[in-house]
Amino acid sequence: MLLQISWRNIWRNPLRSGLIIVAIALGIWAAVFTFAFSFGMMESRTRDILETQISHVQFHHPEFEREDPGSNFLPLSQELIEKVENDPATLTSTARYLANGILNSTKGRKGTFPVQILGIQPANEAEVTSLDNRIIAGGYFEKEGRRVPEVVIGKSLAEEIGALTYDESGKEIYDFKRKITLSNIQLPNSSSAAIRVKIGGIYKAQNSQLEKLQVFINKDDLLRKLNLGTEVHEIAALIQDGKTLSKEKKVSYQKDLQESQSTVVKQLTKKIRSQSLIFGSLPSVDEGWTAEVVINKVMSQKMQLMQDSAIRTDRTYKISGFSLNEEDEKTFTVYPTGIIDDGDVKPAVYMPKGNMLYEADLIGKPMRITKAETEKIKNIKLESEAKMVAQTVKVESWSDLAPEIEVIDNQFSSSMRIFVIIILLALGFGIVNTMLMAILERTRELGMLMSIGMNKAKVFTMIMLETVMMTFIGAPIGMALAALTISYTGQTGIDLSGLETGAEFGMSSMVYPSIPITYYGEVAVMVIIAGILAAIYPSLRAIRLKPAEAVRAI
Amino acid sequence: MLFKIAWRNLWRNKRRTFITMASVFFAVLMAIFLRSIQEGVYDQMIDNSVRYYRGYVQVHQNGYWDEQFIDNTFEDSPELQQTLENEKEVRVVTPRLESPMMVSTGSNSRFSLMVGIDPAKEDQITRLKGRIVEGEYLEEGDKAIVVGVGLAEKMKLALGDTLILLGQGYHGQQSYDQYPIKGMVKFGSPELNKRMVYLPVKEAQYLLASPDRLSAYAMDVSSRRVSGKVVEQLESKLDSGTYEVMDWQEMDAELLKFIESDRAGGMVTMFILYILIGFGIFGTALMMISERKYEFGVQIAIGMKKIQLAYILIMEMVFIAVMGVLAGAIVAIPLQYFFHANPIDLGKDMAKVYESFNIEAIIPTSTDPSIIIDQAVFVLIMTLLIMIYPISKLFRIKPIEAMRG
Amino acid sequence: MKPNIVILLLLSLIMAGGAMAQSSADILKTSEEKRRGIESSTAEMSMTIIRPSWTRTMSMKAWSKGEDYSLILITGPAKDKGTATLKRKKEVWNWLPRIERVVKLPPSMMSQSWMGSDLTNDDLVREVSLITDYDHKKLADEVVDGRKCWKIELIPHDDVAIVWGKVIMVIDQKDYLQLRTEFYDEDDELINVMKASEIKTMGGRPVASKLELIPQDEEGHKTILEYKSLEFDKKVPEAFFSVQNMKRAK
Repeated sequence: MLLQISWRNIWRNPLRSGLIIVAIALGIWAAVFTFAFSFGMMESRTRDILETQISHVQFHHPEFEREDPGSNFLPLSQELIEKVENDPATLTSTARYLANGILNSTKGRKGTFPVQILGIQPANEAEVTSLDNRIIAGGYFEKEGRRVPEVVIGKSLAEEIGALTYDESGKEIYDFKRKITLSNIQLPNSSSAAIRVKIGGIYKAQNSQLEKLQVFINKDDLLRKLNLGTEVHEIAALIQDGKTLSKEKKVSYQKDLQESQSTVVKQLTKKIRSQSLIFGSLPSVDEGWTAEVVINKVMSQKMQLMQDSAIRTDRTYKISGFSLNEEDEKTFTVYPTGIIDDGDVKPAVYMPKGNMLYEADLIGKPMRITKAETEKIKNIKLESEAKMVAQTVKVESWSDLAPEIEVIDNQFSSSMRIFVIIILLALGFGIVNTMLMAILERTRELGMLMSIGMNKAKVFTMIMLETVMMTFIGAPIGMALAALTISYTGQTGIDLSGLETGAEFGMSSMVYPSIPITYYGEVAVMVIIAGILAAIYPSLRAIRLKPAEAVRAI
Repeated sequence: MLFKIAWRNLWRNKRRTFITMASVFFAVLMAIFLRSIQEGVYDQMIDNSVRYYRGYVQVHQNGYWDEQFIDNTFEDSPELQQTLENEKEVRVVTPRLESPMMVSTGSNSRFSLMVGIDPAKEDQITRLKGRIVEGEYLEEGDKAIVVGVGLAEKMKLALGDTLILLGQGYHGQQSYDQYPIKGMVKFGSPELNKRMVYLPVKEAQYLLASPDRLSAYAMDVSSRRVSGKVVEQLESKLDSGTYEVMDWQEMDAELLKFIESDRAGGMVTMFILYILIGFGIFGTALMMISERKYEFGVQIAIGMKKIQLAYILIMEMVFIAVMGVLAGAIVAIPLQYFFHANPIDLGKDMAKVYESFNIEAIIPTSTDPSIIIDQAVFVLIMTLLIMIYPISKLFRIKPIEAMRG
Repeated sequence: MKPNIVILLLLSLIMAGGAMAQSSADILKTSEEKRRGIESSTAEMSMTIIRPSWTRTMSMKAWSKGEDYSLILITGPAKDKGTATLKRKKEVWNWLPRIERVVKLPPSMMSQSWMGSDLTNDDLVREVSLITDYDHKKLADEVVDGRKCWKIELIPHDDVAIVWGKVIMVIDQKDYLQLRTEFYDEDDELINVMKASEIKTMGGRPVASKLELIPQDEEGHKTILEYKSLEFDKKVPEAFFSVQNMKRAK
């Protein structure tokens, strides 16, 4: 009955009701579209960074550092590469060999440029970071195994070394014949190498610093030139729904790796004859001086090194009265990394074979191991796998690798929430005003109704019902409108290039609005609530009318 | 005469006038509020970034920025410092001497950025003391260093360990010395954590064999909006052949670009808000006209010209719009300040994420008065444009029909 | 980028003798053989760094054994006295006497200037073969400082890590001293010049005692090495080039 009256009331004044319905539809449209727009902007910004730079998940040696990759290779790299590739969640993955080096050219200030050399698998890299799409001149690793390998360098670097010049009209002129070499390429044994390369292509990156820093080369070419094997420092993978799922996926990768590793560890530990590791890890490198040693059980007891649980890796120890070549006695500092049970009753220190005894300086307060205690120092040649399995692989999701992106992401969504609240407020005020106007206009009619005996509760309910019904009409219209606009602009994109968009620093000036589907529901609920809340005040105003006065009003 | 009628008309139906005014009022308020939040976010972003390290304004020897090395430093003088400190809007002036140096334990070495600082003043700009997570902050006269936690971790260093600093000093001299680690600082950026080494500026000058030389004076100014003005002022006072003055926009072009790109997105949001509030005003105005159809019909019938009527109506609308806008602007000012002093809190979850970046999880509004003026003027113009349609309806009124309705 | 100081230092020490070589490769080969013939050397020298706004001179002592080992000790000025640089194969250490510490240079420091000069740490360790890494061509003879010289053009092989477009060496026909080396980029623009002069007899051999490194793209920049004394083939044990000994070297 009341429902019917309300329904009829709505259509008795189409202008008034139309305005409110349109206001509601607009409000919903505005809230949804604003969100979709900003979401699209944010998403594309994040996706740009993830899909051109950092990927969703990366695998490294636990000690790996980008600025100093050194010999922190991924353990069991071939198996690992396969494992990641074959994981059902992996969309595509690529492995890289990284090294710091210096790019030399005869042109440019001082002619030397510190660079990060990325040995890549060109085909995989193209899939993971779209490097091939970012080539703006030249080619993308068209041939492998050249005598002089090709490199792909950034536009800004090309400018600096004189490989990119501009003619009078500002047209870019590239000189692919410019001679460059990569020198000081860090090798695992802490020495360095130099190779001659030629410019194959020029890429564009998010910012000029990256362009100046990163030099890409085919990994196989690089490793061949450096006489290295199959080592890699890094695996980067894109995974299904990587932006949202990378954290969970990281955990599952980790678990997976640990399981498969522990079996390998067990097998290999046995291989090291009777000297099984009972605590800690084995020295990490068997070439070059690392000062890392393992000690036997007796020694550890003598040094009171192992206190039930932990090896004090923050302490270093000094070994003295020891000689390798019988010439002179040496004193040097060591870091014990593990304890092995060699069945010996005398204390012993084991160090990797090939360690030359350069004196290392002292750090902290060393404990002295006297000659009497070092009765035996053995060289052990560690199986190369053994040194590797003693460590685990570090798996990182994009939010570990670039936490700042997540912060920006979060900052965005919280400010978005505030924007949506403001829009709803604006919508609410719009409804309140229009409804108040409507009440004002209907003063006579409402007075009449009340004087013929309609009670206040009924009047209140009637007006509320009218608002709710109008909201229910407006909401679907607004949502349909939003869905249409989003799907249209989501295809064509909104071009912001007229505005200052920072396109120079790699951001796309096109925004493709998009929205998670659940959001429609959320917004609809919020708008309906806003509509109802906005109707309360006018309805209250309506029942405060005095029938007698109301009827008299014009 | 018509003016008076319009004025009287307004107060004949106070409630209607207030409702219309209210829709304008809310429109202005919303627009100002949204802009204040947008700009507030940028303010905070810039402030955080600037306070990370650079400061709002810096003075260097001319050419230092392009080629940052020790021979391009300038000689400090009390006059220079005085000139900077006397500048209005400059809050703190702090000296810096920075140079890339190798830090080493002997067997283990890495690159670092050594920065000689005035500990007390530096803290006022970059809040460095607050970033100490282990040990203590530097004091003037210390022969000790404060290092980033990342650096300490990578080099397996503990408080009290000594570290060798080695590099090229003034005029190619070999510079080195060793210092105990007095404290460790933590920044949100892992980059900085792995790289920074601080020591008192006097000690740094001694180390680099460059007594009295500085690479920069970093300055804190009262707000980001005056930094450009401060640069201009200083440029006019300092010899441009000797010094260069830069503000954050010049030193951190990428941040500026980021903000500009974000602002472009913000404009789309504003545009949507305008549509919404514009429609609110439109609806109210349209209803007001339709409600008064009878009245207009009568007036036309008794001989008032439509153009006169339109004039009255326009006057009414201008009154309403101006009053609504004024009211909105007046209310917006305390609101701006309130939410600046009591920023919107983003909650505990966000606080955790932000904490690691030394950013507070809050959004303070901007108190920039230009936002109020811009938005007030914009909404006023928008209101008047919106009124065109309802008023145009007036000319289509047929008195007979109107009176019958 | 910079010419290899080791080669330059050693080439300048090439002694006289041998039959008149015919082809340019032979000339270089003779030089190389003579260079290899030198087991070890001990030198006292000074290095002057010239910059537009300042000039600095350091005196130093240097020992070398083959290509793999060298030790350079700074003997003056007083501030830097005792500072030593040790090179073993591809690794470089510094001894810092004021704080009594040894520092091993990481590869990332290799591109840094050595003692503030126009030489980098990398110049101390980089190795390039004049014979196998270049194609050679003899140009018209030239007279330098009254000495008749061969002029040889060296074009680096494609796949060798050398940035130069070409290198021109002017080698004295009498003593096989390399009196001038010019480094060009691939546009035939002169980038660096290395000049040797003041030929004296030191350690029983004719030696160009003054070496100047002049970068062409930076005006007013120059590094000059001057030998005060030189001794050859003095028995220096390999153990001399140890980190331990670096601290004791005098």
